[in-house]
Amino acid sequence: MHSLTLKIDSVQLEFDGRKVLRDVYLDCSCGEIVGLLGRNGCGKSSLLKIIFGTLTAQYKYVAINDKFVAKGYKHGVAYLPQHHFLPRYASINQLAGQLVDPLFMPELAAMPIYQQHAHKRCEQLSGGEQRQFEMLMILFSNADFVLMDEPFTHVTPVQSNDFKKLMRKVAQHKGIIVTDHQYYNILEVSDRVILMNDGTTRPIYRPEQLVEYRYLSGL
Amino acid sequence: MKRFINLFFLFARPLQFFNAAFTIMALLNIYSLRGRFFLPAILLKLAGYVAVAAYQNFMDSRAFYFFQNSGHSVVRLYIIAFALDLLCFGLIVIILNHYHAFAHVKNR
Repeated sequence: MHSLTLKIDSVQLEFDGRKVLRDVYLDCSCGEIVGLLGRNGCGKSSLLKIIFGTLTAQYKYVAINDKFVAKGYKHGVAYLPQHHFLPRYASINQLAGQLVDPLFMPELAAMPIYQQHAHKRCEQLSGGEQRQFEMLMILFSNADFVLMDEPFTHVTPVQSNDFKKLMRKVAQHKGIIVTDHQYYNILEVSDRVILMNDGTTRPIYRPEQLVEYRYLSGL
Repeated sequence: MKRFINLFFLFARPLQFFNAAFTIMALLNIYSLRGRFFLPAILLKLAGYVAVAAYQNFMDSRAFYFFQNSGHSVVRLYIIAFALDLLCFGLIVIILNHYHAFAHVKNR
């Protein structure tokens, strides 16, 4: 299979004169998970939205295999936002039928949570259950690249472990960029870690560097 | 194509009530103007589209990510939804006119 690479370069974003992102470089290939860490307000979510194509930057270069991509969602990029995004009035099986790749549908349909709730509308589910379906649908979508914004925040530790396994499995065919404040989950699941600091991206080779860059107070 | 049609109906579902309400208001407007002037009704329909889109943007814009994750532009889906609604409205007006729904006020 021809491997795809998502490349993000020279992203510049300003809010009210404050430079949130400058000189950002990030790349992700199919088959790997890239973890993105950074403090609150450092621009992690904004960067993912810029890649996905729902936030306009002052300048950006986003490309898949060196072909410029203006809006990621039109070119095989899926995005899991921090908040719930499934339409409340629709049932889970209707939504899954739209978003999930037919190749992955049998795997999703075999999951106990799907069998239990497939016929229910989203508004009938708890926040945690919705979050699980959102993660499953995004991971099982037909996108080549998956951007996940705080996927572990609303799920229990046991579910986090299950999702990390699923992410590893899905990452055999897709590229995943994941960000979360639960840094231990990011360190565990990621092949590479990037720290966003002062609007720029810095590769992290050793966990100790997170302390050096003052992202962590200690390990 | 079938997948897109299903996605479109999912998108258009919350718009139907508002579009139907503005259609009734526009038809009443045509009726009150004795079936002669259509421009105010069309302007009313257009104002309805702006109001519906603004309401959804304010109240339920989070769901837009679902449609974008399906690979479609929300603006494009709005344009298709409103164009189809306007087409239906036009057909209703033509049919009502054809069957003289407004005849009693026209002939007065």
